[in-house]
Amino acid sequence: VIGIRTRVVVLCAMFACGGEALAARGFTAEFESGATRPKSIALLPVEASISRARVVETEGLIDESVAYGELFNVQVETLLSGKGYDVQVVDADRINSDRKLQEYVVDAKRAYDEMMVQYRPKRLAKRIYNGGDSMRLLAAHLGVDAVAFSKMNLTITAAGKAIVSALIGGTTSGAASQLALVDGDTGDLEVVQIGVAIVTPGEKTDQEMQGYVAKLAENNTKRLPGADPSERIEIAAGDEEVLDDVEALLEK
Amino acid sequence: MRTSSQLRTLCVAASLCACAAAVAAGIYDSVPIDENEWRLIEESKDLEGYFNAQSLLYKEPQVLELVRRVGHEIRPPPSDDYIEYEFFVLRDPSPNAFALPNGHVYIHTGMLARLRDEDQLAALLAHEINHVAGHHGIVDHRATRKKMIASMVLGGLGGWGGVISIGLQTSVYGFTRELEQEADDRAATVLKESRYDPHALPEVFDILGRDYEGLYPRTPTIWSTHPEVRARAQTSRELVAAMPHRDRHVDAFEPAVFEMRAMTVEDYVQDDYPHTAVALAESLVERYPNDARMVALLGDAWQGMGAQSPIDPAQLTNSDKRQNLRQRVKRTRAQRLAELLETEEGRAAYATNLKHAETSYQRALAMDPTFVDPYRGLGEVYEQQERARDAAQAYVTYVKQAPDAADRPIVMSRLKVLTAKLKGEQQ
Repeated sequence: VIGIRTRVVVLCAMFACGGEALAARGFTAEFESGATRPKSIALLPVEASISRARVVETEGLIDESVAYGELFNVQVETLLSGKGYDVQVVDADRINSDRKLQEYVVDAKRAYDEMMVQYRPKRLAKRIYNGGDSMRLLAAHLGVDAVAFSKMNLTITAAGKAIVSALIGGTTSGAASQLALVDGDTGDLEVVQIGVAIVTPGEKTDQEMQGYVAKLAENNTKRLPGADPSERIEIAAGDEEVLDDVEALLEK
Repeated sequence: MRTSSQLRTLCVAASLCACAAAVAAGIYDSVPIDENEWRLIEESKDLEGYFNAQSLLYKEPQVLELVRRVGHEIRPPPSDDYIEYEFFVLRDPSPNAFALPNGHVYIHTGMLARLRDEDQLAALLAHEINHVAGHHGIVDHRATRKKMIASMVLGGLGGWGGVISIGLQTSVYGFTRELEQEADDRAATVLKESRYDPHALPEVFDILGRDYEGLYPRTPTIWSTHPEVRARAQTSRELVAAMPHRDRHVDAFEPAVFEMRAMTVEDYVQDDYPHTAVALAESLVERYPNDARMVALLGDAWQGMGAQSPIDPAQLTNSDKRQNLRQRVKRTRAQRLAELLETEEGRAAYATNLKHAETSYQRALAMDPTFVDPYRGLGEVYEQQERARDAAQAYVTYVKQAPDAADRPIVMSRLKVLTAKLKGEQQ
C-alpha cells in the first residue's frame, strides 16, 4: 500500500521531471537562431545561499555564501569564455565604488526578481518577460549586449538531520542554481538555465564544496550554444542618422 | 529585627523599582549566551558583508549620518560585550526595518522615504533598538529551538531571507506579538526620556498602515501586516496619550532624505507599485510645489498607473488582496495592462492617467524650461496615446538638450521605431 505522503512525493517528482523536460532548452528561439545571442555578457554577483541543516535548526553560512558565490561566477566566466563569449565579471567592489552602477544593478536585480516570480518555463518562448528600462540602462552603462543574473542554493545536512528528514520530512541536502540572460538592447529574458547537483549528507571539505559549485556552473552553461556574432541583429543605429531622418519627417 | 526586615524590603523594592525604571528606559540586564547563540551573533555580523556583496548597502553620507546620529542618540549603553549598536540603510523600497541580536539595525530606503521628520525616525529606531536591548533575538531563538516546527514554517522565506538562520529570520520578519508589544512600550518611554516627540510612535504605525496597492503582502513583515499595524497604532496612541508633545525636528531631516524620497518614488514606478508612487509623489509635490523635478516625478507616477483605476484598499477584503497578488504573480505587467484595456473602465482610466501625466510634465516644463526630463516623459505619454509625431518631437528635444543622458540609447531606439511609423503614415 502506498501512503499519501509517498504518492504526493511521486506526483511532485513527476511534475518536476515534466517541467524539466519542457524547459530542457531554456532559451528563446531567437537566441537559438543567433538573432538575440550576445557577443558580450556582464556577470553580476551571484545571489548565493549556503546553509547547514541541523536536526533542530538551519544555520546560514553567510561568509561561505559570498566566497562560493564568487567562485561560481569565476567558473561561469571560464565556461562562457570557452564558448566564445566576451565575458566581464562585475564584482561587488566595482559596483560599490560606482554610485550610478550600484543604482542600475540594484534596480535591474529587483526587476529580474519580479520577472522570475512570474516566470514559467513554458512561456519563455512567447517572449513575454521583459525587465524594462533598468536592464537596458545597466547594459548600456557596462557596454554589453546581455546581462547575466544567477542564483545558487546549497544545503548541507548533518547525517542525523538526513535521517530525521527521511522519516518525517524537512530540509535535505542538495544544490541548485539558475543562470539567466537578459538582452541589453530590449530587456527581454532570453535564457534561463537550471543546474542541480547531488549533495550527500555530512560535513563537506572545501574541495568537495568547490566540486559542487563547479558542477552547478557546468550544468548552467552546457546547453548554451556558443557565441555567433555574425547572426546577432544590431538594434542600435547611428544616432545622427536617426535624428536626421526623424527631423526631416517632422518638418514635412 | 522588624526594622531590619523593613529596610531589607525597602531595599529590595527600591532596587526592583530602579531595575524597572532602567528597563522601562531601555536599559536591560546582561544576558549571557551559549556557544550556539554566539553563532547568531557571528551570523549577524556577517550579514553586513553579505549585503555589501549584494550591493544593497545605501551609503549616501547625508542619509547615513542622519540615521546614525539619531540611533546613537537614543540607544542605551550596550549591556553585553556581544552588542555593538550600528545603523545601516538598505537600498530596498519595501517598508521595513529590523534589528539583529548583535546591535546592527537596518532600515530600508522605502521605510525612510515614508517618514516625515526626525521624531518619526527616532520612534522607529527606538522600537528596533529595544529588540536588541531586550535580547529579543536571543529570547526568540531559544523559543524557536524548542519548536522544530518553526523551521518548517519559516523555511520557505524567499529572497536573501534564505541565507540566514531561523533565529535571525524572526529578527527580520517579526518577533512574537508579545515581544513586538514590549518593544513598542519601551520605545514610547525612550522617546519620552529623549528630546523627541513620543507622539511620533503611533504616527509611524499610521504611515505604515496605509496600504496603497490593495495587495496581500508576499512576504509579510511586522511592518507590513496591516491589521496588526493598525491595532498597534491604537495601542501606542493610548500609551503616549498622557506624554508631553514636543517640537518636531524637520530641518535636518528633510534635506538629508530629499534625494532618497525621489529615488524611492522612481523605485515604486519601476516595481509596479503605482498607487504608492502616486501617493508619495503627491505628498512631495505638496511639500515642494515649485520644484519642477518633483512635479515631473508625479508625471512618471501617473504614467506608471497604466490602466488602473484608483482603489480604496479599505473596501478590499483579504481575499480580494490575495486575488490581486495572484494576478500579479501570474501575469506580467504588459499582460495585465492588455487585459485592462479590453474593458471600458480600463480604457477610461488609461486615458485619465495619461492626461494626468501629461499635465504634470507640462507643468514641470512651465516651471523650469531648462529641465529636460519632462520631454522624455511627454514622449512616452504621446507614444501611448498613439501621437507618433508629438512623441518624436518630444524625444528629439530630449536627446538634443541632454546629449549625454544615460538613457539616450533607449530613447534613440524608440525614435527609430517612431521614424518607421511616421514614414509609413506619409506613404
